[in-house]
Amino acid sequence: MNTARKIALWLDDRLHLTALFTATAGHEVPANSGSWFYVFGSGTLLCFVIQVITGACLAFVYIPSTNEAYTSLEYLNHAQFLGWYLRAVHVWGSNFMVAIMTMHMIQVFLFGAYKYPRELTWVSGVFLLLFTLGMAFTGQVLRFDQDAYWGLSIGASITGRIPLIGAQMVHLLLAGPIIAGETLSRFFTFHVFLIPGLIIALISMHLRLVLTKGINEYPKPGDKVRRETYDAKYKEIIKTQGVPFVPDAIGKDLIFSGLLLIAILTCAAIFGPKGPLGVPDPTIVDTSPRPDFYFLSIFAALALLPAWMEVLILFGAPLVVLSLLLGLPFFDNTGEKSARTRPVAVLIVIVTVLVLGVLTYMGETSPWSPHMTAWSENPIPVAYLRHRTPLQLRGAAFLQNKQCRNCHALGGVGGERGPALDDVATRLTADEMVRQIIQGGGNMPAYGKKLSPAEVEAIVSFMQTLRPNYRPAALVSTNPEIRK
Amino acid sequence: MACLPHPSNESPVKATEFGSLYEQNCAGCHGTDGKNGPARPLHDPVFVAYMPADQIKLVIENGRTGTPMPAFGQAQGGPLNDGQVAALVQGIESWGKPIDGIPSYTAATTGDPHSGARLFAQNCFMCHAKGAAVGPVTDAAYLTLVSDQGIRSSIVTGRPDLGMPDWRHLHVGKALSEQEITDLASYLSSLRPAAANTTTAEHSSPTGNVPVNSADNSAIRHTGKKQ
Ligand code: HEC
Ligand code: HEC
Ligand code: HEC
Repeated sequence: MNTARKIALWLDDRLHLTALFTATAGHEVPANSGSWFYVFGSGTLLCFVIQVITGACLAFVYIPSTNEAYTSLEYLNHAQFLGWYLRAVHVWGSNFMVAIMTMHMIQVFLFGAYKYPRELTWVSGVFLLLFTLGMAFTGQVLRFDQDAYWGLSIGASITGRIPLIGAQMVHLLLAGPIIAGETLSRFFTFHVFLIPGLIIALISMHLRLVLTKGINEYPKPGDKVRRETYDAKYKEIIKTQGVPFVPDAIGKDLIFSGLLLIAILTCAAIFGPKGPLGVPDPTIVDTSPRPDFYFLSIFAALALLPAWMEVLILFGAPLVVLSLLLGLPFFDNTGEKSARTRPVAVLIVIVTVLVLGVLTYMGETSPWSPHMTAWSENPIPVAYLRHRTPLQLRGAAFLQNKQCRNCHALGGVGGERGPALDDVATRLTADEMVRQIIQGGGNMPAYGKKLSPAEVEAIVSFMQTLRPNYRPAALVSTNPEIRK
Repeated sequence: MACLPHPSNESPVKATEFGSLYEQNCAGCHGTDGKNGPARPLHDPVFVAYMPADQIKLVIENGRTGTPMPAFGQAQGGPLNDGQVAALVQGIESWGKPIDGIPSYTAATTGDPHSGARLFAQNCFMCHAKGAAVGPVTDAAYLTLVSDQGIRSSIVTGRPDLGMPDWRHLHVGKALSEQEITDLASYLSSLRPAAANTTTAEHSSPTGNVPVNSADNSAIRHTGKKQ
């Protein structure tokens, strides 16, 4: 016994374990913070740990190449023992992580915990949210199925519309003008090395701040924060009502984390992994391309916006939202903390949740998704086919075959996701059409090398005939408003 | 789970009778009522007499690689089950009746491109020269996207809906013979750029773009599903 004790003491002396424990897990927190409202932070951390573990396992099998990504996921789903479950836990872990993190944020906001002296805790939390969404987005791309391909190509075309720097941004995102092999390696690096590294660094900072600045006491109405007095008051609270986090205050966190773990494992078992949903190929439009749920609201907002507002919103909204979030603890630094005395805060939460909820719902049920059977069902008006060359007719057949019709109407029938093409030749020159097809743009996917040169030539030669008789064809110099 | 293939024989296309099957799957290319679409008319007695029913079935099921004609058979990842394909074949058959002396669907002999070139200059140039009323069929891109069989079919049946006469009226004054049809077709095929070789399968690139498998490319997975 004595030897064991000696070894333990020696280890403790060299590693400072006891000191580490008292400084971290054992640090004193206000007794009233051991509340059910305070469990979401540790819940989010648990999700992150699950993601790291399952992610590492997935990385053993996943191959970040356009040719093999899909097959490696199929292999996990069907051939690898419990491979599907691993994928399911990873995707459900991410869903839960975003959800719990949001609750954590709402709780912190409603409890005024971002106020003096915890500004930086909030700021690091905002960046954690951004990076987590970054993980969700890059992860969705790694799935590299049809949904992912469309999500990304739509994301890229949106980015491409940012004035001036759009093209460079797309290049940065995709490692080229179109989605290709390099794109996937880039997203793999982001998802597996870069962002997780940043997240771990930020979590350390976030937790360090929780330790140094203490956990917010359960706010009481009327108990105003004053910069001059708060520190002393908090010290007093810790002195009189402080309990060590472990073992006293951690109970509810443990129960919540346990329930959370069960929820993730159960959802994964019941609903299974997401996708992959068919080989990514923009010429097969049999998925109605929608991003994963966290981005649905953004997708819906962008799809609903009138075109002229788009640039404004694309540029402005992220800046405004980010400055609001980052600025919050500074312009609302003191005063009441309790939600009972802050009706505006409560209102903001309710409105934000409602708006995001409604937008997500609209994104889910969007009427602007492509019309899936137009390509084989909707005929081309006969007048558009008379006096055409055989090549133009082939082009018309390819326009159907490549399912352009699912998004583009002719003669009033067809999808409405993109503009009707009846008079497209008055708007675009042949070169611009080629570019639109190859590189996409707007909410249109880039077809890149998915169409052979002959197919592109045929489609464009047909589209060049699409102008009402009396209207001139587009000239390069006369249509300034196209393709910024 | 969400990605299980359709249990065989259950088609995402609900229709079972010819009219609506045709409307939903073929009208976009072959035209409403089987005429006046970008692809050849099917509602054409000459065409129906010329193309054997079993070949029609094969084309519907497998599509035609390199052309816009997609595969509809479930074995090829298409939406239609055997019963639906049979209904389509039967419906198309009902659009025509046998015609005596019609050229065979497949060429019996090999063609002579030189004789074909001469025949083309004599009989087709007036409509198909560059700048002529209809426009060239000798153009590289067009030939890349059409099959040899498709060329033969066009020469035999013409395009009644758009004003190209059938084989009986194409040789000035008389009908084209079986051999002349084969020669003409082989002439047009001989002009096709070698690299293209009617397939779109080749354009997966060394940069690692997702390869487009041509069967996959022409096969269309209909969505009954919504995720
Ligand atoms: C998923 C839906 C979708 C599909 C499929 C699609 N497009 Fe588009 N397309 C769009 C959208 C959306 C726009 C508008 C882009 C913008 O806002 O700049 C567009 C724009 C265009 C334009 C420019 C129109 C104009 O007036 O500026 C052309 C030309 C075009 N598409 C051709 C095609 C062709 C050819 C195909 C098939 C190979 C195709 N599209 C497939 C959605 C689609
Ligand atoms: C996306 C356009 C498209 C659709 C949809 C389509 N076809 Fe076709 N089809 C074509 C084209 C183009 C050709 C000519 C192919 C070639 O060059 O050989 C063709 C050829 C054919 C042929 C063979 C003709 C020959 O000369 O040998 C048959 C039969 C046919 N189609 C039937 C159908 C039927 C039945 C449907 C509906 C189930 C259908 N097609 C749907 C474009 C289409
Ligand atoms: C009276 C004019 C005329 C003559 C003569 C004529 N064609 Fe045509 N051809 C047409 C028309 C009209 C079309 C329909 C395509 C179009 O409008 O672009 C067509 C289409 C074609 C096509 C393409 C069909 C398709 O759907 O892809 C081929 C191949 C063709 N002709 C070959 C020939 C050959 C070979 C000859 C000579 C033996 C010939 N044509 C003679 C008028 C003619």
